[in-house]
Amino acid sequence: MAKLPKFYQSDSVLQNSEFGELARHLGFVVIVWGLVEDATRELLDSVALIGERNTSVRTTVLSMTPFRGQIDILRRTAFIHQPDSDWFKELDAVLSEIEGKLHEQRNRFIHDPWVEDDDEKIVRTARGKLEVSVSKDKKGNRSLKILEPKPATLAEITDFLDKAYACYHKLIQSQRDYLVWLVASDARPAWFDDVMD
Amino acid sequence: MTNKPDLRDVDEAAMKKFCAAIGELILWASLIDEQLNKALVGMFALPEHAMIEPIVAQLDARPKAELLKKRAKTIPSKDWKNGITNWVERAEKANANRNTVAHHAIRIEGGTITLHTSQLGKILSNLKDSEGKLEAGDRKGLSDIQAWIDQARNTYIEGQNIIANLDRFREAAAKAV
Repeated sequence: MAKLPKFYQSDSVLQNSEFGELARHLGFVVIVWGLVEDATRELLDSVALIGERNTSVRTTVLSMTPFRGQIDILRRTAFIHQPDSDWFKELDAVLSEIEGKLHEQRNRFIHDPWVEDDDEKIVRTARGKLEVSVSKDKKGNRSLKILEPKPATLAEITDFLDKAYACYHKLIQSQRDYLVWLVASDARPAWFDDVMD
Repeated sequence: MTNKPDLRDVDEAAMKKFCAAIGELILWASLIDEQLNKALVGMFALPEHAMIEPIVAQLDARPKAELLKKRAKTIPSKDWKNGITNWVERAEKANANRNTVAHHAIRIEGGTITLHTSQLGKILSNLKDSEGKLEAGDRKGLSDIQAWIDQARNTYIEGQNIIANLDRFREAAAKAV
C-alpha cells in the first residue's frame, strides 16, 4: 500500500529551475482537494441521504449538488441529526475551514499565474479581486493598493496540504462516529433493520 | 505532518509523475488565462491603468473567449481574424482540460491512475454510443494529460506571438493618432 509522496518543506523562494517541483506540488493540491471533496460527499450521504435506500437516487442528488451547496446542506442536516453537540461543533469547525481559507487558497494556487521574475525566482501573481484594493488611512484618505507578486515557496503549499489532510481525516472520523451512533440509535432508517433481518 | 491517506496499488514514482503532469497543465493554463486578459485589453484598446487587468481578470474564461471571438469578427484582415479566433479556441480547450484535471478525483485500478468524476453531468457527457449501446467513455490518464500539456504549451507560444502583434498594433495606432 503506497502513501502520497513526501513533500519538501522548504521555506526558500523557488528558483526558475524548480518549476517541475512546483508543478508536482500543485498536482498534490488537486489530488488532496479531490479527497476532501469526496469525504465531504460521503459524509453528506451518511447524514442526509441514508434514509433513501435506492443508491441511484442518492448518487443523483449528490452529483447534481455543487461542492459549496453540499457543505451548506451538510452543516444544516448535521445540526438536525447530531449525535451530540461536540460532534457537531467539531464538524462545523472543519467545514468552516474547508469552505473558507482552504477553498480560497486552493483556488489561488490553481488559478494564479506562477511566473519567473527578473531575479530568476518564481513568483505568484494574485489575480482578480485580491489584486487591487482601495484602502483608507487613519486620516480617511483613500489610496489604491496593488498586491505585489508573492515569492513562491513550497512551504505555503505544504502548509495547505497539511491542513487539507487534517480536514480529510476529521471528515472520515466524523462519518465513522456518526454511523456508529446511528446504528445503535432509534434514528436509524427502517431499511437498516430489514437488511439485518 | 498529518498522516497521509493510503492509496492502494500504486507506486510512489507513478504518483509523482501523475501529480507533476497535473501541475504542469495547471501552470500552462494559468499562463494562457493571463494571455487572454492581455489580449482583451489589447483587442478592445482598453486604457492603460492599474485597475484594468484586475477587472478583466474577474471575468470567467468563457466570456473572455466569447468577447475575443466576437471582436475578432470585426477585424478586416482575414489572417488576423483567423489567427486570433483559432488561438482563442485553443485557449478554451486548454482551459477545459485544466478544469478536467482540477475537478476530477483520481482512481487507481490495477496500478494505473486515472481521473474519475462523481458528477452525473460529466459522466453523461462522457457516454459513448457503441453499436446502439451506451457505454461509459474511457477514463483519462497520464498519456492524455501529457498530450494536453503539449497542446497548452503550443497555445501559449502562439499567444505570445499574438500579444506581441497586438502591442505593435497599439503602438502604431497611438503614433497615428
